[in-house]
Amino acid sequence: MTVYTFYMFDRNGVCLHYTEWNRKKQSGMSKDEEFKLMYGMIHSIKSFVSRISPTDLYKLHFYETPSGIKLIMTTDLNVGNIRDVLHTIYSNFYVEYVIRNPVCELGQPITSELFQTKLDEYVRGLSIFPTRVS
Amino acid sequence: MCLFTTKWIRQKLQRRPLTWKQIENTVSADRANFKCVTLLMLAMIGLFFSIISASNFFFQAKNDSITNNSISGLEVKTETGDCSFVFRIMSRQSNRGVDPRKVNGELFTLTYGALVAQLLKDYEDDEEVNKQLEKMGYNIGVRLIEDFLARSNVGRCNDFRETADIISKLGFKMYLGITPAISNWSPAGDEFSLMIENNPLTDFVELPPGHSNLNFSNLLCGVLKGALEMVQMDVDVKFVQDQLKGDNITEVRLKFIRRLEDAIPAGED
Repeated sequence: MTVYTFYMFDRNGVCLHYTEWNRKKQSGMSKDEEFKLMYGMIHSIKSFVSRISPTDLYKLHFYETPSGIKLIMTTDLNVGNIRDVLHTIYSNFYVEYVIRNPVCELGQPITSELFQTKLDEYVRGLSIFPTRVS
Repeated sequence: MCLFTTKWIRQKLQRRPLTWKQIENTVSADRANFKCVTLLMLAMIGLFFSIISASNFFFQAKNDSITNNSISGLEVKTETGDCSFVFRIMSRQSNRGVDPRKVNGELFTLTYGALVAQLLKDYEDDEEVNKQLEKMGYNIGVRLIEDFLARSNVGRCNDFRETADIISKLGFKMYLGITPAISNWSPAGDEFSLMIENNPLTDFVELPPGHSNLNFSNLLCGVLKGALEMVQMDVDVKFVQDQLKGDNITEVRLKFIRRLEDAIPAGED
């Protein structure tokens, strides 16, 4: 375990303090720019999280394949790691019904009804689907 | 059906006069019969339409895949129509007990040979055929990579050496059943060769004279390029040696050009 860097910002985005300890890689820009970037990211994550949230509390799962396909699923907080679920969606549904279907054009929204119904069936059948603990 | 019934009753009436009761009986009997026949007819019509729509879908699918490729793909497909039909039947038979994803290797070789032969007829120019094969391969590659990732469950590579290993030991093994040796690394580590000893695509192939520029298996280059492009690698792929041209071994050279970045969402700089 180790500590790399520490940032502290006020509510207007001014960097109050910065220290680095075991930092291995520099960002290749001035510190001021880096602070702006870091604050910008935190700011947009915060506004994003509150704007997109389906309820007050939720968990966002993100799975990215090496080919850049990104799968995002939001669930409630009790759901654990669902990497295998997202991988199954990718391999058993996306690859099976979209990639192997010559009619489905790549890089376009998926219009295959088969994909939609199969995915819907799968998600509804998941053990994490019906739980309503709140 | 109604016409038939009345005609039939009329015949009966002509033969001998019937009482009203008798007519009623025949009509109701006929109606029961009629119901059966209607059901049968409906079933047949249903079957007919489902066949029509299925075949429509099939043709549509075929046409769409053709437009996805290129014009040459269209001619080849019509020409090798019989071939693809055989292919479908064979794969259905092999579904029993065997892995349905596997097809007869010789059939695959012959199908590929037919494709190249037809391209040569259509374009009459080796360079153009090479280009078309690469294009087709590219279109295969961009889809094949997703299938590969789904099946192999490998993560992102750390360097080009790891990529080379995965291409040879997983990719070629999975789809062609061979493991090409990796050699001739450039000092910078951005270029290597795949040495293919028994290329399954060229099993029964003998190049006729006058085709020294043709890279018979150029489809492979396209597949590799397309697949690697989808994992953010711009790579140059070409044949440098070919057993078909009398070389000792078939050598495919891969040169790493640059890393492709993810697309930036619209509205950002």
